[in-house]
Amino acid sequence: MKICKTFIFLLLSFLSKAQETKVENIKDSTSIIIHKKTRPEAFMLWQVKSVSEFISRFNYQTYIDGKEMTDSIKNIFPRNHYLMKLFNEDDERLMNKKSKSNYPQNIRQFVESVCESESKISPKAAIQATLVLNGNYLGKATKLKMILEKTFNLKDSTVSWRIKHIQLPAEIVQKEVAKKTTTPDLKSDTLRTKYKGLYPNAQDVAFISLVQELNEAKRVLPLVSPQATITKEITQLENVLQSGDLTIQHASNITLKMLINSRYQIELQEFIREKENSGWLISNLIIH
Amino acid sequence: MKKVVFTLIIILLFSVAKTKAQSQSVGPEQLKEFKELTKQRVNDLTHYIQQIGDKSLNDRLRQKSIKLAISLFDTLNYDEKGRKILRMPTVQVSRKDGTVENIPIKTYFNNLYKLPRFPKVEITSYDLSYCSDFEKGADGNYHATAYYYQEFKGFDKNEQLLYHSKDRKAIEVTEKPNAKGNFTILFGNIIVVETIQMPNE
Repeated sequence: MKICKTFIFLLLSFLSKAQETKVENIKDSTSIIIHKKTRPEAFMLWQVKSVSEFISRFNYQTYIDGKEMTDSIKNIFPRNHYLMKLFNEDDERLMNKKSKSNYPQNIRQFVESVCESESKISPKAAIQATLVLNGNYLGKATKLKMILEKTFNLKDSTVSWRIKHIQLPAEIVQKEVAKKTTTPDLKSDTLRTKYKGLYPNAQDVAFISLVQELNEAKRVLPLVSPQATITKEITQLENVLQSGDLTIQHASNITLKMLINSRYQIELQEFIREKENSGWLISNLIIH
Repeated sequence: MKKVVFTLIIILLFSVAKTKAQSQSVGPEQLKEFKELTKQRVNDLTHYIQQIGDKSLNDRLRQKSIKLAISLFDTLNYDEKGRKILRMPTVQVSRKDGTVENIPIKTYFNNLYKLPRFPKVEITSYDLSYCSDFEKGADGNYHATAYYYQEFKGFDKNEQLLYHSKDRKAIEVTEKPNAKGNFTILFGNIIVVETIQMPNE
């Protein structure tokens, strides 16, 4: 009986503590030396720093530096003007006024359509990323292409990135075919179901966690989406990673794709430069 | 017998509390609080970086700043069997000339401490730190990216400017729940992108 009472008491106290959410502070005992901070430059404030900031600006919810939109700011920047700022203004199709491209006209129509229908991007929307992985294959520089998808899991409200498709360079495919290696026992389904995917913010930090996972685990299969088909190229990549013939250095040419309105698809790229029109910007508009 | 039962109960309670902490979802207000606390942590980090690079300060303080800066990072990881392993986060530096370099965080801070080419170093931080929205990852932790900008100037003995760069730094942030149900802010990998570079040799 006593044990039972102790059990209930301890259970309640533990559960009540578990429900409290506090942020722990790391105690710092260093001597304080004040270094002056300089006022930020305009481009630092306007730069679209993260994909979540791009979404909130597209949705007309935030202003510079993550500040909330107010009615007075909305009067200064009507939504159509604000949306135009999210396109890469250094695009040749926009800069060259003699260009015969339909791109400027398509942008105007897109902006009108978004404003009229008050379209918004859901923070839970699926995002696709295409990227190039720069690596070293048997002592030579090589590049492989990869498509990943960021999906929202309704069951537990979690978000993660998984690989959808891989395209290997010819030199790896040819050598691997010549080797006639048998497919390793991948236990693919167990692995893919067990693995939890890359962090939801992997796109903002140049998919560095993807590079680390590939080099440290020397495996690609656990990162492949359970819905994706295991192609020959995935198997070949698994082999060259396991044998140590291929190491990955960094990801580049990252392009994100999002569907808007079911009629349009926007492509985003990160432009880090010292001008207000910088950060994650629309680099292309596709009409379906 | 009673001792065994009591020990089992304690183990059960700890695992219940841990599971509860890992599976708990936090509300929008708490996510806002995470953002503000992350900005404070970023300010601490930029302060330590300035101290590490400042050769006019005494060595003990600069070494201490390296330790304190590293303490802000998540250096613990788990292998496939769930065993704890030490993993230093990486700083990926993309230079204007197109080169990309990966440096472990400890080496990065130690390099900043030494910098033998420059008898005088000036690191300027900007009064701005931004944190993206936190999202819950499949690992049960909350993840975001924080951003800050810094300007670096390296001088020779005669205070002539030898090197000048301005960087945009993006840093992984994780809010990890612990067994007590509290959250701890920890930094991960850093992406450094140079916006201007001026080698003046």
